[in-house]
Amino acid sequence: MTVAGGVRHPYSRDLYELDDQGRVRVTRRDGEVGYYTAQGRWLEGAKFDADPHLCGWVSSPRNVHRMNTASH
Amino acid sequence: MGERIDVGDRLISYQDVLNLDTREVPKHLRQESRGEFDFAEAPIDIYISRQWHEQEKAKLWKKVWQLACREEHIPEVGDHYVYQIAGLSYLIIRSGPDEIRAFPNACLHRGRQLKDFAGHCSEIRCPFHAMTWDLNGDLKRIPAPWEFEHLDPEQFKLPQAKVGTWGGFVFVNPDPDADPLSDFLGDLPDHFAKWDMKNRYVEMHVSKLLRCNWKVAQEAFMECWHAAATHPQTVPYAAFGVCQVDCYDNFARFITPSEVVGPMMPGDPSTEDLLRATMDVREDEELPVKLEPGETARSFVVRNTREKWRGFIGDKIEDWADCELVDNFTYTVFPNIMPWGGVHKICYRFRPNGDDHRTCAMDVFYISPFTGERPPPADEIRLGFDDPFSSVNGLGIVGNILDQDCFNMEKVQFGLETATKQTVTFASYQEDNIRWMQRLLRRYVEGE
Repeated sequence: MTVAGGVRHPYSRDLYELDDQGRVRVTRRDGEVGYYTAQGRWLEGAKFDADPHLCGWVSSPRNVHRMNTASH
Repeated sequence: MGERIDVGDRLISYQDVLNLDTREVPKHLRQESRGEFDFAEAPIDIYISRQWHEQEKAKLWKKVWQLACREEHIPEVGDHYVYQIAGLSYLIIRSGPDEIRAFPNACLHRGRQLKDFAGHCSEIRCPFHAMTWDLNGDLKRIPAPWEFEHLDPEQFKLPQAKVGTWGGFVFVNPDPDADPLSDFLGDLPDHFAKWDMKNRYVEMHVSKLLRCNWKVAQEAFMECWHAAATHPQTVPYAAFGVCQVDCYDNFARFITPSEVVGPMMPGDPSTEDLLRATMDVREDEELPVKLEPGETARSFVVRNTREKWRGFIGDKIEDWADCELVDNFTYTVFPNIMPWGGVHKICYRFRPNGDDHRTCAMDVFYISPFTGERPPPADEIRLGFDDPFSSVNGLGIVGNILDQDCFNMEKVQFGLETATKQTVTFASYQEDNIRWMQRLLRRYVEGE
């Protein structure tokens, strides 16, 4: 299974990644793994209070920041 | 050692950040204008009650200056734009090279709307019976004049709304007795003088329908401390919770220090941590930029932005302070537009969705600099309730951030409609722009 584009939560330090089935895989600091929807609803694995905003962030198409482009 | 600025035991302030600037900081940024409020709550009826909405229609939208379009939407005499707000419609027309007029968009004969959309005309002719007015609103032609001998042409001129312009924005006020726009705006044009909104153009215009009252949507953007929860990926690089919050008569602002570690970020993140978060560089990806020796995240962004903007405004960019190239200056002009200052190009507008107080339309404009001949304004991209901003590639990463805000909005509306607590409660400083908004709103709607 491949995952793409992980983002670490600034507070919990949990890692949020999108897997190839469109689920958000959240890996906690203790190694527990849970799978969630883009809205933060639990699907399977470890069940905890995943951050819905980071679930949405890693599930969205990636768009560029102005510092990455020639644009202003 | 990371990027956290040591200010001892107290919270960092925006004035601390300005003290680091390598250029002269504009006076208005140095001068704080703290609001004074004797309330910390507002009734939820403001957001959910039909009666309140009807009062807004009668006492706010018919009485206040409001953004209709940009001047570049109507560059030639005869160009027109249709502006609609809360069941009202106005025809904005360039009636002379330096003259813009606004008319209620309804025929005086049988009431048909005069123009259905933006376009160009040499006269204002109703599509129903061809009753016609000139661009100044004077009655020009009645196709069957023998049927209207009872009409006095002087009494059959199109009524007019007031029009004013600032920074390339065209404002209308339906109230014929309204004070001039310049009086209403106060010192706002001075704040924006260097940022020169007039010599910019509409690079993007995206509108989106939202299932919430227009104030629920707008107020989500009128403070920044929600970002720590709603935009957690941004926490490393912006000093949420210590924005400078200023209130004036008919406009307000908050300033979010960027590329500065704030009190809501734990630890002492490195320069690379800040830039990775800024540019959304994910785990196991390389930072795509190279820093100069000794450079901080803030100085890196300032240096790069200064060089990009040199291409637009030349060496005048040397007069811009560092803060103007990196920090977020989020203004609100009462009641419903939010132009950002500095190098930012964002301008939001919020309106009820037609006559529905439980849904709204949010406009996102990118008001951008250009080189050479002025480009034409972008066509509006319309998003439905379930279309995300991130589906519009041209918005860049801002679209993704807006989606996080929108994720809250209809849940706020639902919560307000189901709540047992009949008020919302505001923070003591960071939400002062919302308190300023609420106070002005009550003055209009309740005549306080």
